[in-house]
Amino acid sequence: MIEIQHLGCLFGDFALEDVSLRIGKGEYWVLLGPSGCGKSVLLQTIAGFFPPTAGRILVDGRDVTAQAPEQRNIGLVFQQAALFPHLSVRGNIEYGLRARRVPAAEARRTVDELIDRLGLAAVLPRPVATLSGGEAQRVAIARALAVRPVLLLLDEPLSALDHNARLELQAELARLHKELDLTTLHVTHSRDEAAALGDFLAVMLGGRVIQTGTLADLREKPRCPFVARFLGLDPSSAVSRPPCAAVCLDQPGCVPCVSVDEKGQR
Amino acid sequence: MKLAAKQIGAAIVALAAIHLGLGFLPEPPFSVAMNLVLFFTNLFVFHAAAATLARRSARTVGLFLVGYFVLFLLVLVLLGKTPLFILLVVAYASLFASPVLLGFFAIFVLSFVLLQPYAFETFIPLALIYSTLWRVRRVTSRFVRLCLGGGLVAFGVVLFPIIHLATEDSVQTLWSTFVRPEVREALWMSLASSTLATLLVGLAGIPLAYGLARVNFPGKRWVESLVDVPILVPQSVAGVALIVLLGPGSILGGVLESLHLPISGSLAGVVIAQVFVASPFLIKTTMTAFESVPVRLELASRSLGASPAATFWRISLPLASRGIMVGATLAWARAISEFGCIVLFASSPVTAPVLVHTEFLRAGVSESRPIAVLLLVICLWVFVMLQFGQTLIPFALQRPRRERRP
Repeated sequence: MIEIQHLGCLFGDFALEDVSLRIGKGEYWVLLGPSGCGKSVLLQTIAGFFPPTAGRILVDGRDVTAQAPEQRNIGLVFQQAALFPHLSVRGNIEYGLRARRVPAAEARRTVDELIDRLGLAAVLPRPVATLSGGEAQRVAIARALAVRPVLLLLDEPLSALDHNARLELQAELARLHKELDLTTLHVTHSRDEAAALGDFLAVMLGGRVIQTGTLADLREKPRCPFVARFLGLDPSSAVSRPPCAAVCLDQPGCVPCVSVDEKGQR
Repeated sequence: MKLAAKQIGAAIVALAAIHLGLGFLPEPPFSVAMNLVLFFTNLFVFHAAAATLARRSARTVGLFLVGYFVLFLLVLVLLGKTPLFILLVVAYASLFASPVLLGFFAIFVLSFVLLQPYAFETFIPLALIYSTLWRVRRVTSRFVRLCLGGGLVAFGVVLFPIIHLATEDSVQTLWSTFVRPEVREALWMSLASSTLATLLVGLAGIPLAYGLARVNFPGKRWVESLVDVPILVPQSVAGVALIVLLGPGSILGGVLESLHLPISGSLAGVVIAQVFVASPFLIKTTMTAFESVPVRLELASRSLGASPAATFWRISLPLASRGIMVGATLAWARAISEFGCIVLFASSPVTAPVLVHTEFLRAGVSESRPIAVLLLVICLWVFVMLQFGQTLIPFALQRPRRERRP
């Protein structure tokens, strides 16, 4: 169970404000929002690359807010796979195990199992620079999974892929999540991905989480016109009406989504 | 254009008329025999031209004639070497059909006829440049080729004294110089001290470069400029500065002297001077190398459980290693070529550049030249080896290991 409590983060002139999420073990969360809404900053803050200015991050009740990234055991997959170009495919996958000084035999077993599971046997002999986007992303996922992270963060993992590779990898992610009982937080701006993958959704805008819930919940009762529009619904079906800043504030547990009409349109 | 028999006949008659006319001049320029040989040469040239140019445009024919007259003016009129002219003209007419051979022929004429004293050192670079341009002619525009060719020739002119010097002495002279103990000692001293200096610069410079590449702080630009200061400071100024700080009579120098660690006039002095002048080259290049390693890779490494130090050793350093090698090569080259600072601050033990200077003062150019050539050859050899060595680094220290087949 990952709990993010009232997280705030300053990054240049961009700010995360009062972000709270509860990600239960084995849940697949999709963080949905337009470009520049702070999804990636939130992800990197959870991974430990930015120190938060407020709030806490709890992993199974343990406070990891002050821990360095390498101590958190939170896996991270980037939009561009970010494979280590000087290592082989196998070297990439076993990197985390080597860094943790896992005994060689055990490491080999883990890596072999992941290679099997992700169907990477064919790309093993190839230099990583020659892998296609989809293949590279699979290797990156295998690399992140090798160390059995308590939470897998996916930062727009499908955005840089072509249509077919995206659909394949999407199915793969859903399968892996089920088979390996992963806890996943997947960032995207595509509501198709969100609908296909997410057990739960969190819609973000301007550094705040606007609404959380299952896709059905959100479809039924979008909190405000922005959420409705972002999910492809009629904005007039929203619970609140513009001007949002005024109305939202009246809703219990709501955050003020100022300037929805400017940002929500993007 | 296809030549008819009538035209061929007319041309032969015209050629015969010219040579006859030459023979009947009041002071004929050639003997009768030579005139006859020239006539037949010209017949051959005409024959070769008619064969190769039959289907070409008038422009190509004009070009052929221009080439012929350039040779004529150059070799026959200007230099007055008739046999050479015959040889060259026959070669010219035979090679004209192939542009690549014609280019080499033109370079050959330029080097071995016009620039005869510098034949080797002009022919080889020019031929290399031409063959390079010829090889890339299909994939580049004419403008780019012009830029490249012009630039290379101009750069060749800059390097020419060095190329010329390297061809000056015979192997025997070089060997007899090399066996002189003081020469060998100076060469060893140069190689050892500059290698040591490069290692020292690397030891301190690589961490500094990594830090500068990864941290932004106010005033960082000033620090980066300070790194460049040794390039700016004249060598003599650097020498004086080191003497003032560490030389005999200075406070720090006196303290070290009393500890039996004399700096000035020992190997340490040479190395300090070289470290001073060589450091910017390694630090700047290394910094660029680290900057080109994406931060994303380091973040990925840390999220996988590697500490910042482990990330440096396993990711950043291997990925920057080629750039670091480039920097180390430059620093080494700068260190071994240092003269001004060393001659002031640490003139003993004698390094090779200092020895070249003292030999020049003692006995003139003829004595110092073989030493200079030796130093040059050794430096160039090591430099080429290091440059070549960089390409062997597979852009990382660790080669991808071969996978075991299941």
